[in-house]
Amino acid sequence: MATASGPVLFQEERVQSTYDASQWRLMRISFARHKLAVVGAVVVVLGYFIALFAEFVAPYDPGAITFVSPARSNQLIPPKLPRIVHPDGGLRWFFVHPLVEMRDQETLMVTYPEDTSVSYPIRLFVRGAPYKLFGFIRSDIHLWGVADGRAYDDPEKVRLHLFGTDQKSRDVFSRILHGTRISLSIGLLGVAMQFVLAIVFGTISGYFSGPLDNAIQRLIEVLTSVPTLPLWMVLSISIPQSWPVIRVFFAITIILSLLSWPGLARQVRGKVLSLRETEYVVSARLDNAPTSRIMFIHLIPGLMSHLIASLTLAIPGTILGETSLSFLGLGLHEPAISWGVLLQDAQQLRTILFAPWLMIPVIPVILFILAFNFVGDGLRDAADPYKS
Amino acid sequence: MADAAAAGAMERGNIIEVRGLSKHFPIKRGILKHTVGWVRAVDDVSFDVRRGETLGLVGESGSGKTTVLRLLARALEPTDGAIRFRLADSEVDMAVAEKEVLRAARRRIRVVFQDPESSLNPRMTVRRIIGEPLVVNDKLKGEALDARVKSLMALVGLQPEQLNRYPYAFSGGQRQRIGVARALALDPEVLLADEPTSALDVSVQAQILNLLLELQRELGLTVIFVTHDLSVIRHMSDRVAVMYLGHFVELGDRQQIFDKPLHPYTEALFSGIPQPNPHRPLKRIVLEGDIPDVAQVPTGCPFHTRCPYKQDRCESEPPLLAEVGNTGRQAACHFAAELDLKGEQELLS
Repeated sequence: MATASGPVLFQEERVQSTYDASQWRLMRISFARHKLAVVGAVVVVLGYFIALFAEFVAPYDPGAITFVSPARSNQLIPPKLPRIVHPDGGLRWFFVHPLVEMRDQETLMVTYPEDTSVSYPIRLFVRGAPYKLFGFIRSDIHLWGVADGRAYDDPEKVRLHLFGTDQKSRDVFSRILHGTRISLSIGLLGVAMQFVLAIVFGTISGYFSGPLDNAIQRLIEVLTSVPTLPLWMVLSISIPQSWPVIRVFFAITIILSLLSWPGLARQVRGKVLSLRETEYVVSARLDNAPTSRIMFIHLIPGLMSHLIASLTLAIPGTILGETSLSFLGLGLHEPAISWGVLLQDAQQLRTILFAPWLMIPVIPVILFILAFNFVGDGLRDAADPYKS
Repeated sequence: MADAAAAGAMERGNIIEVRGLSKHFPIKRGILKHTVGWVRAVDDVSFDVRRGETLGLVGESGSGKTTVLRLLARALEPTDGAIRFRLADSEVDMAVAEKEVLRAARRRIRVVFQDPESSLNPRMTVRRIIGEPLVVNDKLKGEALDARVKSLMALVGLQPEQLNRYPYAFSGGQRQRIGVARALALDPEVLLADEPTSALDVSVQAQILNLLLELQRELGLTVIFVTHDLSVIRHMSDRVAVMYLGHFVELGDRQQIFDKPLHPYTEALFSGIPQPNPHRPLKRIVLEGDIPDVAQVPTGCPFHTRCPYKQDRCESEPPLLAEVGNTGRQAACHFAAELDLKGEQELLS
């Protein structure tokens, strides 16, 4: 019998290992080459870490109103960075001066000059407002805070508002960190639902051509031809105002994903159509492989890598969807905290003029959308390691 | 050797009898996708295949040879006709076989595909690729499966310890060996090979062809072999069938056809065989025009538009594939008995 004409010459350890490498390993290797995608992945992972541990990472309770009296309102305090240069000239570890609330007698504008006679250091792992992590771990340790020795609910408590406070005297920085939770998870949850819908409808449509395919394609055409904004509005209005935050959240997620699966389903269908005709699928059919095996062993794994890449690119759409819905007042409402809800405060011209920091929640929206896009780009390039 | 094999094959009778096989593809146009015409890829073809022989199917691209092969495997649904397989334990008409019968028949009738690049799932290891028919049909698992896959790999000249590799880690020739091993997994009687070497380097082609010849002899397979390469046909087959525009134009013993073709198209094909000696080129018979559109096959003899020996009768009356004299050879030409066509050797200048 003829002997194998294989690359016997190159059978050293390293080469051997790439010969045996599975698709996922090849994908990892090629993803790591895409530097921007790796940076994006780090940002995304960091974002979900913050979402998980928001209570710990945020210095203050996002709902805590620090209003004491009309003379000590703590409303619309501008952003402030911790200092390192002490008034006596020396360099110190990060510290803050307490703020004094003053009202300009002519313009009636409130200003917050610093009381430089006193200073309090910033400390890591300080005690603050109590919280329950994941709903059951009781703690009052926060990643950082101002060490002034006072209890968290003391009216005299000295605070550092990195991104200032809003009109209800709440800490914007803590609110943004807590907003990560809803804004990023709505992306994941919505996309997970799209994923299921797209695979089910796309695979059926592509594999069983004929009337079933026709029906699904027409349904998709109808869905994609309805203008999104009015449809969002109609669907959102049908959500009762009295519903609790969690239920509204799920309802919004379902609305967003019901409207965005068609695009993905089309991609799946196209891919299935081309995969169905490949010789390895024909050969599996001639091997007597049942339809279910062809679908789950040959077709779906074949399009999985592409699908994951497209889904990563679809997450920003869902995040933006939630943000714009909530911004328009059609999505989530207070007391829910999401970036869209936070941006509702920035709707009035007056606030943009006098409290531009209320627009800061736009920054994480942009940051994460870019990060997801980079990751998606990298995944798409890595998706088919056999093509290069 | 080939003559002896052919003689032996004749005694053992036919394993496949194809009668009136047709495959017409509709041409659809417009938004409503109404049918405006038909491509007669295979049109009323009848032939027999003898047990244990290698039948070479040759023709230009578009002649329908691959379609015939796919119909035999029932990878395509035939429009009309009968494909009777006389297998060792049963008789099946593949053209109309129902699910369970088809399942059983497909174990015995296996296909080797043209391009190992696309016929092996890139996401599967060799173990799973070769093992797939065994898992699906014999419910083999674990060590029994591994042992069978390894013995198949050894049979086709692969190193059994490489069973955890993915297809991309193999050369083209090795990949085709994987394809052959997969086809052999269920102990078939008939191997349908669809241009198994056309995607390979010339240097590797011979290895795969020899492998197929050896396996055929060892396992007593009947092989139907599709190719457009006449030198492959000369090397491989006991008998040759020549196809043109969905019709069989000539069918007969390989040596006899190469010595003295009976159909003008076969002669023209031979004149295009590349010769190793540049000082003795073949006398080229250059056919006029292109191969006609398969959607509009000429009336009468499909070859009359390009035939150098054309007569009036050819334009109106289609010739049938019939035995010429008492030669045991078949040709579809009104003048097969009269024309004195040149074989490959005679064409050498």
